[in-house]
Amino acid sequence: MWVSCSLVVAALTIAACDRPSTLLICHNGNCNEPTDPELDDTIDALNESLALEFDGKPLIDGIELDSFWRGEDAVCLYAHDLDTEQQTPATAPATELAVHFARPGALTFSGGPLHVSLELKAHVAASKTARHTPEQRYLHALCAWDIYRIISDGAVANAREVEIVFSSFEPKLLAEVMATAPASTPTPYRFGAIFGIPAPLDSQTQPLGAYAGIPIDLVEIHAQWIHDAQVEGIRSTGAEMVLWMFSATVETFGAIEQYEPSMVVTSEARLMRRWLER
Amino acid sequence: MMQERLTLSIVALMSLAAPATADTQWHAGLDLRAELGTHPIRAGGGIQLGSLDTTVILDPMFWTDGQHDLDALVHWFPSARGWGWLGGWRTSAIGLEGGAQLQHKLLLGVAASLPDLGPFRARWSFELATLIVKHGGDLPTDWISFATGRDFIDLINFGTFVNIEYVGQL
Repeated sequence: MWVSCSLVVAALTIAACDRPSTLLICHNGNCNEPTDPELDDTIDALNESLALEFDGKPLIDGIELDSFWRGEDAVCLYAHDLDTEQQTPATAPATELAVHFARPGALTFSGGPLHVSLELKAHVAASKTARHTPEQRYLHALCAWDIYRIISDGAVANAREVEIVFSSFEPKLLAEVMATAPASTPTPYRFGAIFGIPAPLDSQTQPLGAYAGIPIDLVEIHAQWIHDAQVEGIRSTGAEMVLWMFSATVETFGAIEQYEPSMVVTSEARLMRRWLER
Repeated sequence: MMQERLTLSIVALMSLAAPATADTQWHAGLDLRAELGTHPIRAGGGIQLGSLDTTVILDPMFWTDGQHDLDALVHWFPSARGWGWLGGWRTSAIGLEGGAQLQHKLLLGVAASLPDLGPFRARWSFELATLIVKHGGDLPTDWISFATGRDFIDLINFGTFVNIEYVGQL
């Protein structure tokens, strides 16, 4: 009898340990399939993504919102880049989220806090090599705190659990966000570094050491451009590993199984949720 | 349907390109890889007609996570120096809650023969795998697009694998 019970407990334990809980974050506020990057960081795609459901619950656990500081006219935009005629203010999606918080029902599939990743884009013009001046960094950081305040006010007013992560490819931007933090921050926030396609293919990624002095809790790394030294480096800091992607492929799913990230940032929310729940 | 057309094309190519006097061999064995393009251990076999070699790879590891990777490969070795070209098609069935999504990849690459291990032959291949379309599982069909970098950058991947197979004469 004891042996039978032990076997049952062991089987249940193995089953429970087999699938680490991975949160699903909506990439660029646009994760309703079919994927269309042209709709990234648009209000329509954001609202469609927030409305997605699975098994009667919200499909996602969090959402990524980009803020882009356009240097030529000093405007803070809700945009991934300047490839499209994006004119939406960076605070607009925060307002939509605050409205979303007032609606009844759960915010996340997991039942935990809604994870809002506020990415501060590292360039200020069409070219990724056009970086912020010190003044532009300051103004971009203030913009990020404006977004934070709107989301936080909405969460507090509706008694919603929300967590905000300021993330960027550019450590100097995160340092500026730290330096400009307001006195009152009722909604918890953390900082995240982003690793993407490595140089010379892309100029954005900086080594983890460049984030010295910033309390990095999460490292978002592209699922198909990971090498062992990066993994060891991230793990040595104790930071959570987050995998991001544009398109989910066999390699992506393999990386999730191998690295067991705390979150995946995807443009294909239904595909990813159904894979996670298989 | 696409897979059937590809298979027919491979067979037609073989019949045109293989020397009439070539030795015909069968082979079967393991397909091994270290990266994430497929499961690490698969099994397969095929027929070699002279410089053309066809292989079908099946995936016995499907039970581990509900994913199955099926390859139809053609190796062509135009010279006797052991280097050759690789072409093929990979269909991966991704297990999902309530269904499966199929992802189809075009494979192009190079290959090299390694020294024989007794009755076994070994071959190294390097592939460029491009995801052409994914469909099924009650999800929208999604073809590769080159409109922006975000559309295709994740869909093109490199991989390398080794085949170790027993070879017999037909």
